[in-house]
Amino acid sequence: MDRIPNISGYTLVICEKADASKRIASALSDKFKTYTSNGTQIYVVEKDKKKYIICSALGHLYGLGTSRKKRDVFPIFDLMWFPLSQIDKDKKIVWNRIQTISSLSNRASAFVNACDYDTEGSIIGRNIIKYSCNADISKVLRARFSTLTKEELSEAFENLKVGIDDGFARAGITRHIIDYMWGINLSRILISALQHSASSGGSISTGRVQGPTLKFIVDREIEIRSFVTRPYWTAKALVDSSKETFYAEYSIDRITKGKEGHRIKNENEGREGIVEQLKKTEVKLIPPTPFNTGDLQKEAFRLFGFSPSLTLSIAERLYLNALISYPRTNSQKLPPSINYLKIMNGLGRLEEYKKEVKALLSTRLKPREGDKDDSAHPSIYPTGEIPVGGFDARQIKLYDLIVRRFFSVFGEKAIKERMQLSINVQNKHHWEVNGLRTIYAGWTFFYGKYVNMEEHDLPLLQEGERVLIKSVEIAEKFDKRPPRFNRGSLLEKMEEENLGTKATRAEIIETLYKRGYIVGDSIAPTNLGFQITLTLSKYSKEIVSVDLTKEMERKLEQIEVGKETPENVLEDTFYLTLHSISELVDNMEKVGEELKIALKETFFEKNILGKCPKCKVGNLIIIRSKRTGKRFVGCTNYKNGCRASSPLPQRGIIQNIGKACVMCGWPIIIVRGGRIPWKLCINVDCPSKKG
Amino acid sequence: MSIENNTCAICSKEKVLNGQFCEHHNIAYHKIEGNYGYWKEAYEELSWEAYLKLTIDNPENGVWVKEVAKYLITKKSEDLNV
Repeated sequence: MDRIPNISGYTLVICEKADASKRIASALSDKFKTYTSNGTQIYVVEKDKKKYIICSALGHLYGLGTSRKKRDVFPIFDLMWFPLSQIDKDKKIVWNRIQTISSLSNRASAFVNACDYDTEGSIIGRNIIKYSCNADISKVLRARFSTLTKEELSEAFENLKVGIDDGFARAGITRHIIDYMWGINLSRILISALQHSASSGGSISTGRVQGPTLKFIVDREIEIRSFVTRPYWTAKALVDSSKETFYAEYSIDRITKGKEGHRIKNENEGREGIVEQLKKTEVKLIPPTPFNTGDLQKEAFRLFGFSPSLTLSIAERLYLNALISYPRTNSQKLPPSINYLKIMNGLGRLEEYKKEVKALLSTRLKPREGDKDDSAHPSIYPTGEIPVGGFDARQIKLYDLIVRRFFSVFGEKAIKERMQLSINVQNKHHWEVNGLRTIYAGWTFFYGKYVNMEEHDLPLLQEGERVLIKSVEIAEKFDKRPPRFNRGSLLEKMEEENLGTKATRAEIIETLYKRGYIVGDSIAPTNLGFQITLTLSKYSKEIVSVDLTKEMERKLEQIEVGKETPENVLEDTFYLTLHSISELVDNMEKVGEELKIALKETFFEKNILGKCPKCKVGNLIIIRSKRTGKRFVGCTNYKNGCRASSPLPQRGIIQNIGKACVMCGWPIIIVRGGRIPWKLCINVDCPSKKG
Repeated sequence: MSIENNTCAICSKEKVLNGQFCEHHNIAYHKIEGNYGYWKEAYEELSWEAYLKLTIDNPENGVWVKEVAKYLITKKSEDLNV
């Protein structure tokens, strides 16, 4: 371990992550010195005769907790900030970091919070400076920046402002407190209810945003499970002209009677039709708005299948490499102060964007912006810095998407032409042929492969030309049941309903998976998720109320801008929590009974992988060995002599997808835990695994 | 004196007041009933039994809907046997 330099009277700069602290050090001076203390990288810099020591946190070092540890004790309203190492045994490293920062603070004469400039960053820095450094937070300076480029960081340090206990921090702390208060009390009451019903155990929890989010999924599932389809018919004709054969659609796209379909076939097949009219309509497509967090997450899901949380983590890496601006933002604005020209020139140095930059630089650079704004950051944009070093395929994809979206917002409207031909058969039936083509590419030139629009030309026909309806195909169709949410559409729904924040939505969705309340990419609730929602809706509507959560979000936003006080919001939450608790306490036994059944069903749902292919009587079930602690699969018919068994991967969440291996008939599972889910046949002797 | 069974005819959940099913199977039942008119018009000749069979076979229909349709068919044949 290197010794911390024996200097004093310096400014201690607290960053959120190690990469950011190094960038800040090099922005202040090229001649920074690096030290390591207790596993923490420390940078010492001198600029304009002022000394700085720059160190980083590990995200949050403090979390809310209570001294009342027993899991069935409630209500809990005495909350305190504790070092995370005291709350979570997996976070022991946090204590070393707190000690290092604490010892660095002893000889510091000033403090700068240089954590990410948003709610969470404000809380991280505030708590460290308050609890690790014991400093007077009213005198602490705040660095404000949206990118980690040298230029912007230097500017941020030239314009440091006093005061870190601002609207951001106040709103953020209030959010943490109400989430904790809500979550711990309701989760503890659910656990107590289970104990009340003499259940053998099980863990169950809910949260302020988690409950209503799960309710969206459950409500959709109820719609799906009680859906009754309706039949309809469509007609398509194969048409012969003198030049080509093509398909035409019947003018009524939904024929509601089967008999009508047959009539259309009989009255058209083999008949002659006349090309009647060619209708052309020009459609102008306006450029997209710049990316905010939600828009980027939805687009990355649509194009690459990235989950919202994966997108955010890749974007975070790009930000820490100073390639893009801060990715947690609501804003759809691109202010001129970001210097469009400088960014374009920077990107123009990359071969793949030369053509686009050249085209844009010949125009007046004025972006299309959306309505959404963010008081801390503009929308997500590329900084124009050249990527240096190795980037994986996913980082390259996301970076390219962000760059092309940035270009697109400066593009002009695209002009498309919709063309429609009509074929008249005996003045009784009409068939249509549609076409779409680009007249002027505009912004779509810049967005390129990410544009979601298929083009197709019309057949070469003249008005008045006679054509032959060669055959008519009548298809019986059924209304599709409502689609399940996927990670992208669920995120969109949360955004629409103002549930959670840009920084927390993706995490909440992942929490629902981790707690076993939802499964699958096409998201379905598990029995447990379903039952928790139904039980909570039945006995305390507020817990899963979307309106209530929305209202709370609105109040938190008002704290941010100084229109509401944390005290008022906390008081409201206090009474609301008490009310919900009393409703649940009144029905403790019923709540416990319902949850107990759900837990039991979930156990089987999670652990039974399918019928045993060996004895064809028992089920293959996941078992954990008492001797070795390892998990494996065995047959429930073991007592009657079936010895079917196979080892299982020891890490990750096992998901039963209800499919059997085509080679051996054993169940196929998906193992989630690493970056990419892993699909495999559980039979260790499966022929597919030989050779 | 007879003891009235308070559970859904299909699952073990409590049945709704004046009904034979639980809340969810009741929703499904009403949807089946509500859509019969549309199906009858679409196919012209379609008996209630044939409609229920089509309901069971259609992959778009929800699982509760199929359970109710199966129950109604079984109940009908049991009633006839009695």
